[in-house]
Amino acid sequence: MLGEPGDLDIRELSLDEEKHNYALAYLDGMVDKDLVNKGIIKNLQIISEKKDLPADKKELIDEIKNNIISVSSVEKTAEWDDMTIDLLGGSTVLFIDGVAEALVMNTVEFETRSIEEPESEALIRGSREGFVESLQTNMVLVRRQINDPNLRFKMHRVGRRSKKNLAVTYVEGIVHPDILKEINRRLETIDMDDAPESGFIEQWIEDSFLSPFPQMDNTERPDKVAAAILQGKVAILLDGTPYVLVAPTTLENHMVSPEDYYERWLIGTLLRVLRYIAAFIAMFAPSLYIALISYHQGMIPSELAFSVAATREGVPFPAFVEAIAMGVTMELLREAGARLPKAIGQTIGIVGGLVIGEASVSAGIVSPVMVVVTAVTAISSFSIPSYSAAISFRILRFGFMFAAAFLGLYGIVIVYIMINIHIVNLKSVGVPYAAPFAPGFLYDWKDLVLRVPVPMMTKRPEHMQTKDSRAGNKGGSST
Amino acid sequence: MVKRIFFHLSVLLPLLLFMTGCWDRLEIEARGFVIGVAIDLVDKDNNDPTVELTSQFVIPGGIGAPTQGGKEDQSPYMNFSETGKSLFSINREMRKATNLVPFYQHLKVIILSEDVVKQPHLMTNMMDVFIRDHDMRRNVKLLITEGKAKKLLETGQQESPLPAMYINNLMDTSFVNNATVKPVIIGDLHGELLMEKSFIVPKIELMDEHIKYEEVGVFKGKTNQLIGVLDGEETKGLNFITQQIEGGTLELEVDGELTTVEIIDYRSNTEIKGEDKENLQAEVAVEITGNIVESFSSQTLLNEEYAVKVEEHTKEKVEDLMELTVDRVQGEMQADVLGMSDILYRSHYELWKEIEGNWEYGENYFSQMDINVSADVKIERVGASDVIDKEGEEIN
Amino acid sequence: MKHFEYADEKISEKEILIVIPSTLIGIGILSLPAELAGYTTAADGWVAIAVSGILIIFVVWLISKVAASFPNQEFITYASALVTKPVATVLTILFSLEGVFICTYVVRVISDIAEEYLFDRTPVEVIGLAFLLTVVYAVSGSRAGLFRLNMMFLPIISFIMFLVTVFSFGLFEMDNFFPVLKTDMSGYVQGIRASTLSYIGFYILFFYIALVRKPEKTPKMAALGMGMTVLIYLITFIISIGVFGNITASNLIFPVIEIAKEVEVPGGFFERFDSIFFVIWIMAIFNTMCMAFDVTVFSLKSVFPVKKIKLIFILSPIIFFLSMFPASYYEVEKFGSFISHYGVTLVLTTMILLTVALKIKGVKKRG
Repeated sequence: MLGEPGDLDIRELSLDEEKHNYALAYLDGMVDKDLVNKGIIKNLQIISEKKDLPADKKELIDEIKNNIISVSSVEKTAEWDDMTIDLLGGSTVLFIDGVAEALVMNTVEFETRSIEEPESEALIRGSREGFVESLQTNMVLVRRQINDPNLRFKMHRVGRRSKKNLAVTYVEGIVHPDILKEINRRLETIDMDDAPESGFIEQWIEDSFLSPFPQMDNTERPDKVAAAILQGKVAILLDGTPYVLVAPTTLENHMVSPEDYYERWLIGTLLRVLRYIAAFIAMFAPSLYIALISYHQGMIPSELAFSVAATREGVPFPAFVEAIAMGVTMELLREAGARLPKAIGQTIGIVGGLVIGEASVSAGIVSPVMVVVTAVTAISSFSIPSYSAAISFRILRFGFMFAAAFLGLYGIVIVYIMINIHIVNLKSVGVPYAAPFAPGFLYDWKDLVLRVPVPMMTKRPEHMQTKDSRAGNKGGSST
Repeated sequence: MVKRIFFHLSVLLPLLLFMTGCWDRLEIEARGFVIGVAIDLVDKDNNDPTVELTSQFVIPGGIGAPTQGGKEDQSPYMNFSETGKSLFSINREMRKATNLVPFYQHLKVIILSEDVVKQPHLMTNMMDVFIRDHDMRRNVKLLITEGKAKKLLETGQQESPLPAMYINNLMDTSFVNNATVKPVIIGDLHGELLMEKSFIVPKIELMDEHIKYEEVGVFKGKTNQLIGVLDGEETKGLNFITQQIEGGTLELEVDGELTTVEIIDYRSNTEIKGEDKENLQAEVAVEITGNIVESFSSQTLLNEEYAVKVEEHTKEKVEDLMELTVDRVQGEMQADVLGMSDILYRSHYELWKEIEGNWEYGENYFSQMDINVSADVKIERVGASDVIDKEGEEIN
Repeated sequence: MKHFEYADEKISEKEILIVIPSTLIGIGILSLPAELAGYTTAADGWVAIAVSGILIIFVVWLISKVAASFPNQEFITYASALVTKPVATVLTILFSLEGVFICTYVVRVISDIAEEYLFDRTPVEVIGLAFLLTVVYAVSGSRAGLFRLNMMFLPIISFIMFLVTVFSFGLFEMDNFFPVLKTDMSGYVQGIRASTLSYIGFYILFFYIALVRKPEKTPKMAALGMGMTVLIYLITFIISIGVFGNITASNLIFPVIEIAKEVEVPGGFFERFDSIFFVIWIMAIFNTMCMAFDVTVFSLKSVFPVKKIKLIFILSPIIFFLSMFPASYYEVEKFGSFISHYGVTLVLTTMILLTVALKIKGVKKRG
């Protein structure tokens, strides 16, 4: 059935004056050897010598299960398939000669990364714990944040071959049951060999695969997940990845960082405002540059217009080509920086940025203003807290650039309207993506751009339609 | 789902296809920014005068942008003249003759030669283009000048190398002085032309290397032609009447000594009395609060009597100025630039409707009306010499 | 797929409140101050706006009252019940014609304005087509999505309007507001007529109230929404007069955009605020057209059992070609005035018809 994998250990035991033959199967490296030795083999050996074991095989297996083996989780099963899956998952299986059933003992233990600070979501103030690859650990991390008896982990197995564990995490009594039902339903439709990363799950169960917008949040931070769950959202923890999915999500969620809540409200509000400005720049700056330089020169203040015209005098390309060239270069730099080892990556960013910027200006390929625009755009797009949202903004930025090149400001506004049309029709697990802007939930506007003081955020967001609207212990913090 | 994709594509694709035009795309460096326009008269043929239009184009490279060096010797502007019957045909000619596409959205000033505006209706025709064209801003400043207008577009200045910009800034900064009027922009002019009202346009003069800006030209409504110029003193009087003052100073002689009074607060109110159209009476009352900022008098400034004396002299001076203006516009020019018609329109609407047609023409009620001026002056701080060190900075 | 439901094809009465200003504020408001200034002296036009506004608020209230007395019934259903099926069908078709006309007019005018303020040589056809396709994209989405779009854009539109108002204070000349109330009767009548015509568009209520979940509150909300609209009209009129004075305002085609041209943004980031204003205003016009288009599709669908997408694909070419038909600005204006007259007549007739029928039927029921 399994072939003969090199890491499969089968320990045969012959005990009780060879009345009973046992075979112990486990995967080397996946099990806690200590536990197998002390909790199973030793017990079997010692106890079988002292005690008279029932002769009846049926009774024997129950006796072993109940009285002999000192492993916390033992199950009796006769199904080969279950056995294999458990075996592969790190359990130890005890076969007894002449018994149709076997005992599956949870002895799983393997090397995991220790809990570290989440790298993709660094905070200045806030917990330094990040999720790891082990589902068990991650569940513990969530549990430690929410000591609520209603915290639920619903287990699924995904991957036809990989059979990964997946935990749908929520708080019973807060989450809207339809959201939960829908997520579970979608998870059950998953049909693929393996889900190496939560991204696969996300793409399988998201509402619209045509949309450039992320319809689920992903995070490495347990505090973020806990806050989301308490808002009536559902977290999906997948074994083997530190990235936890949170759904449903709205556009507004992607603009929020936990730090907004950890710092005082004024600072939080200012950060929000700053981030919305950053999002605006990240999306529109290059296209506005194109529109102003190629179409609406009258909108630039006179003196500036003259000096921009002067700097562009040697540049042979239209503003659009210039902007696209710089935009692509910027993306290349970013990509190169991300792929290379950390130390080199940073150097590439700085050296590449400086050298290319400086050289292309003096070579007359781009104008200095374009370099400024590109740099500001890049910085702005990095200050958007959600990486996946930042990516989609970057894609849209190119769309805006094309529109600006064709129809100037008119083109930009047309594309902007189209994106809005898309957003209002988009849903994340049934929740309108544009909420709480539209449909409007005035109460939720307290925590939109303005982040009101924590004592005032007494209710859960209305657009999540939570069953229990009071945000008791936790100040309604968002994802 | 697949159907939906097709639908999305079917909407988006034609959009893209149709957008491949870029009809209006023109890069900023290909635009010829026109910042100043001067109009001179070439041929005075009464029915069909020929004008010369001079446009001042900016040559950005010459301004000396910080990065691109090496073009220091290049002039930052280029004046381009063309003659023709209408501005449109001139513009067309200009497009042919230069490689730059004239771009008027950064136009700052329009300078008209007095010869042009002395022609009846010519001014209206010229301005029509500038007002109607949506490319133009409504805050383009309008000026007249004696002699060749295009000469003004050639005055180079060290601090602002673009003549049109120089004139523009000059007008922005110097109208705080009560010797000049607020710049007239074509947006305002639009209303006056439509209402067939008389109006004023500031006049500038080229004096060697710098530009003098204190007189105003008076235009009579309907024909919109220049009928006279108010000199500096008369302009001051006009400003006192029409509330165009934002400070400024008055120089006067007290006991044979020169004294300067700075106006710190000023209010003017004009009321028209009498429902009889033959006998209209206007009362112009001006209230001025001022400080003595400079005195060559040997007396101590803290003297109360001296302050009263200055007050009286100031009052006299202001009244003189205003009377001078009133006489000129009522008598010689017969053009209501004092805003009397507005007051009638606002507060005596029925009466105004009745005499509207005979205001400046025909019966000429404007010239017949009595305009009495009075000034009330208060000197608030006389001890300016004690604080002159502190205050001295603020006075030009 | 069954979704976690937000009851998608239903709307709340709050959305009715939003949809009225969204639909009405569009093109009319840009040119109305000029037209009104022509009929009245100084700032007297506000009387005309207010009088016609109150009138229309009443009409709106009445319409929603009638429609709300048939909760969750489509126009054709309750109209048939009141004035027999053939009449209802004819009315529905006439209304959808009005919708098509409005769309046509909007496409043309927006292209013309864009040509004036943003472009020089770009063909109007391209500008119009880009706009029309955007609207088609929106209308083919969910109906609730359209209401949400209104919700998204209205704050932006109000904000830009607010900015223009605030910036224009510096340009105000108090003298422009005098003399007060010197307009003669015929001037007021003309003014009231003009402003009433510019409010056309509220007829969408006949249809959309069917979608409201709890229609009891809608008459109030609709009247409130209409009140907001009137207020915004008043503000625009007053700032137009305050900045330009009566005579100049009456000579400008779009006084509101010209104000934007005149204002100077503090800090001097942008010059020519009019371009920005118009670009944002495109969203307002977009909302108008979306609602007009959607209500047309909605009403036609109630008469002809055709798929929504099919209807859209049939209507949009018609709209496009009709809109490119008028050759000059004057023809467009004539067309516009025809639409308004047609619309107002239709709405008033329908309203009177339905109200009277409701009264009679209501009496019958009781008796």
